[in-house]
Amino acid sequence: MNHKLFENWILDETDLTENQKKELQEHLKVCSDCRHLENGWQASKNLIQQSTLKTPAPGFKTRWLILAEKKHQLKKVRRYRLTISAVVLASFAASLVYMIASGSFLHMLSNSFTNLYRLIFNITDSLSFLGYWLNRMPIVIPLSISFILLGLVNAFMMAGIFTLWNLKQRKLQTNEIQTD
Amino acid sequence: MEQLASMTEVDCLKLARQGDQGAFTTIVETYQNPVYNLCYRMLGEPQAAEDAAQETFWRAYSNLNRYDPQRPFATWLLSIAAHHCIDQQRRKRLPTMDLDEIIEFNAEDPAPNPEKMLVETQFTEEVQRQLAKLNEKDRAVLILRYFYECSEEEICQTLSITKSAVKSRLHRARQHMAEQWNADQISQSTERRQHESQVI
Repeated sequence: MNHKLFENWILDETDLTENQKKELQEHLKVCSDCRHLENGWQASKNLIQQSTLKTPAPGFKTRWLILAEKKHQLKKVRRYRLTISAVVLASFAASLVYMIASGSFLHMLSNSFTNLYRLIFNITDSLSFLGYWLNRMPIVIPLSISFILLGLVNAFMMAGIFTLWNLKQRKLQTNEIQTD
Repeated sequence: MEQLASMTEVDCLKLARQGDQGAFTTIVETYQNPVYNLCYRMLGEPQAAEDAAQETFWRAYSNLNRYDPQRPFATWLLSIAAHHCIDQQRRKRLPTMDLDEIIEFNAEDPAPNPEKMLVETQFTEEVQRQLAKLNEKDRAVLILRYFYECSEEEICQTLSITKSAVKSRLHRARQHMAEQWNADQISQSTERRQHESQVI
């Protein structure tokens, strides 16, 4: 008995000859597995065929028109942004090419390094000057300055955290309104 | 608009390709039910189905120049819907549907006969429960075959898979549905027996 063959006949829905149909019926009488398979599939198929076509809520066309309008607007904005980015990039590339070709680029680069070096030097110098004066002051003054500075830093941090939390709350509220 | 209503699908598509959104709206009106039904059967949720159907029409509209007029438009449209739903499913695995949700959704449907509505709800629930357990592509193949009566050839074109893949997916889906049905029957009869013994 070729069990797999009958299973394929049931599940592939092949067109069977009269003899094959008889053979299958005979097999179904003796094989409970195949009988269950046949009954299960036929029942599922009936269920699918009896279920009705699902239709969208009224006003689908209007909603589509609104969506299309929104998408058109988005497309326009995207195209606009793309054009601006392309123009900015092109001008940047053109000026870079010009600077390299005219030799002013290397000059600008060396100037930038010199300026950066000067800036670092000045900061270090100012810090050592500040340290010199702090060492000469009574200990109460540098301590109170440190307290004030630490307090300010803390206040700024708290304000930043509160702002972020506030923004998050507002976003959550907006999402809730949208889902309602 | 009246003019548009009297036009054939080919004329509407020609106009839509030239950028006439009104002509495409006629197409939307014609195909909204089959597209929505496919999305609903694939995703199992009315809101997700609505979003997917809307997205399908937008994709079709913005890619109309890629449409080959030699192919039936319905197949092309259903192909976009099926692929979109498969993608959606892959991104977010299908959540099991609450019975409350189904009842709530169907309660909005204008049905004059409550008995008929109840039977339809039961069928919908049963079918969706069985379909939800199939994998995305198997589900798509089965839906196209039995809800849309597509031939194997049409399913190949719609889902961009080979004919042998369609056959094997259909075979697997049918087997899964049959096994699922039998398992449900067994669990239902066990449950009934438990209730009966409690009463006794």
